[in-house]
Amino acid sequence: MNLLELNFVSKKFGGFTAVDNVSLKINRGDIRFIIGPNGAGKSTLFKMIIGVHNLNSGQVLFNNQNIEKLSLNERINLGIGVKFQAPSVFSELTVKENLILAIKSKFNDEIFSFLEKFGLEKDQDVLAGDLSHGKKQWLDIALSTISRPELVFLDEPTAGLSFEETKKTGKIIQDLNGEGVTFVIVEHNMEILKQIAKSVSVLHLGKLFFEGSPKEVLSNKEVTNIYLGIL
Amino acid sequence: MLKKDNIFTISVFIVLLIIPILFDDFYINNISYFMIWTFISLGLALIWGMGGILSFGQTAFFGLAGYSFAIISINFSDIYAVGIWSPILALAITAIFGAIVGYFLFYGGIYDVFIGIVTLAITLVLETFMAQTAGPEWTVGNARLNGFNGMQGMPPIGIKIGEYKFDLQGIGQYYFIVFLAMFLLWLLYKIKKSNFGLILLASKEDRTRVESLGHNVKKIQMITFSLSALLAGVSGILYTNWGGYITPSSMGLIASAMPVIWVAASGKNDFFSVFFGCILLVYISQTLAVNGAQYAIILMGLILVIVTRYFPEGIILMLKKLLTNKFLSKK
Repeated sequence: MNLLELNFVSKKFGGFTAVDNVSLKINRGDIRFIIGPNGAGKSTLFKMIIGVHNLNSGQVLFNNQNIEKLSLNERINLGIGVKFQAPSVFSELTVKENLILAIKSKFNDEIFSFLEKFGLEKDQDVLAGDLSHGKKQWLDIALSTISRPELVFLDEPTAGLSFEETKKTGKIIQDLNGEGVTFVIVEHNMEILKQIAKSVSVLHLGKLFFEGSPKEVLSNKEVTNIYLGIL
Repeated sequence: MLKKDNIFTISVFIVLLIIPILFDDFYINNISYFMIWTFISLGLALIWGMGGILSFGQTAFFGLAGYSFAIISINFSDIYAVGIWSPILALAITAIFGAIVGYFLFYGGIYDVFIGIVTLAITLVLETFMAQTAGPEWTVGNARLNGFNGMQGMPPIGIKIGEYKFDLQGIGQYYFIVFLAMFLLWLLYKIKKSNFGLILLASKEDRTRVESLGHNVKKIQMITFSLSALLAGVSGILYTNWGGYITPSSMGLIASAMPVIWVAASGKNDFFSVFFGCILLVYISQTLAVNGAQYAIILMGLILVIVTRYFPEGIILMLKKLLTNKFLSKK
């Protein structure tokens, strides 16, 4: 069953078409990677789905409900989690206060288990602004997932992380996916794609260029070419 | 458990509670006057210090509450307990007006410096309007608005029960203000520690991220704006009650700049610092005003420049932290 469905969505900025008639279907339980070279429209598509950018045309269905008219917070309350490209934790609040801010009251007992899951249990009283870059990324992912949304969007969750940190991030995402959370991940990092992706969509010049399994995408010569800038 | 920085708050309130034992009515009335301004400052600390939204027009709510109280209490002076319900009604009017202004600001997508400009424009429009109401045609029921000279002759806050009559004046007024300040400081600290407070603090850093966690930031900001208007209204009503008058100049440019200076100079991120700093700065202003009001205004401007340049956190808050570290921290 489709958890998320995009039908012919487009977005223009002035005369520039950033996203051009893209249609996507995300199944429940999927870990979908959206990849493409810089300027392919990945982040714009991500922001269109969550309501930061309005659509110029098309339709976004979540659980078969049209969510175009809903504000960002209303979409989130339907069961969507979001992590933006740059780590955006609240630096003047402690790690624990960040999580309290993000959690729905019925999950209040789970704060400590989440701190443990993300390796932040010793940092719970530390100001989020004082965390290392890697821990900020994990806290940011924790904020997006702590209320157990059905669907989570992560924009570059491994940006700036070391190989080991990337591995650990992949493991956390896989664990949450095993608990029933569906992920849509915008990424450049092919290591984590190989580690956890269940399906991949490739965007190029604002259009959907290719879809398939990680193996199909990685072995596709045209996909390799657009990453190398040949197409 | 008693927290370290609560020691300052408790010490100041103990001093405030024993002042009437040591000083005569003249000083008690003066200190009451200094404390009256703390409520508008606390309101600004709430919306600006916690919410990151600089309102330059808190005096609009101060004036609205003062005029509403005056108009209602003059018109219904024969009705029982008007001295109790008229200030409450005036506060309700002010909070609703604050919510309406807040709605148009936040749901209209007005942010940052534009909020300062819009709120300043509101208070200046109100001042200009009230200043031209000198003619006899400008009355609301029995209450003459009286133009630039302002309104007077309103009955004080209070109640008559049988033969016993209590008016909020003198020492009663003083203790009422002290206990009200204690209660509101406690309430503001509770708000700061609540989920509501966390959302407000976080929205100061990144509004979109807070929305992306499912919170309705615009609604929270509108409610906060209304609360800050209500606190400004408390000052407006107590001021009107204290002096028995309210004038348009209380909503003017200089008046609207003062709370911003008091809050910035004291330390906008800490309610106690704002409370204490406001009392000190109003005292300094008033002392200088005896020798000519312009000295006070020049000094306040100078304080703002120095604080912005050298003590952006606020002087009182900085001193409080220094004293806490020096005398109260564990060795």
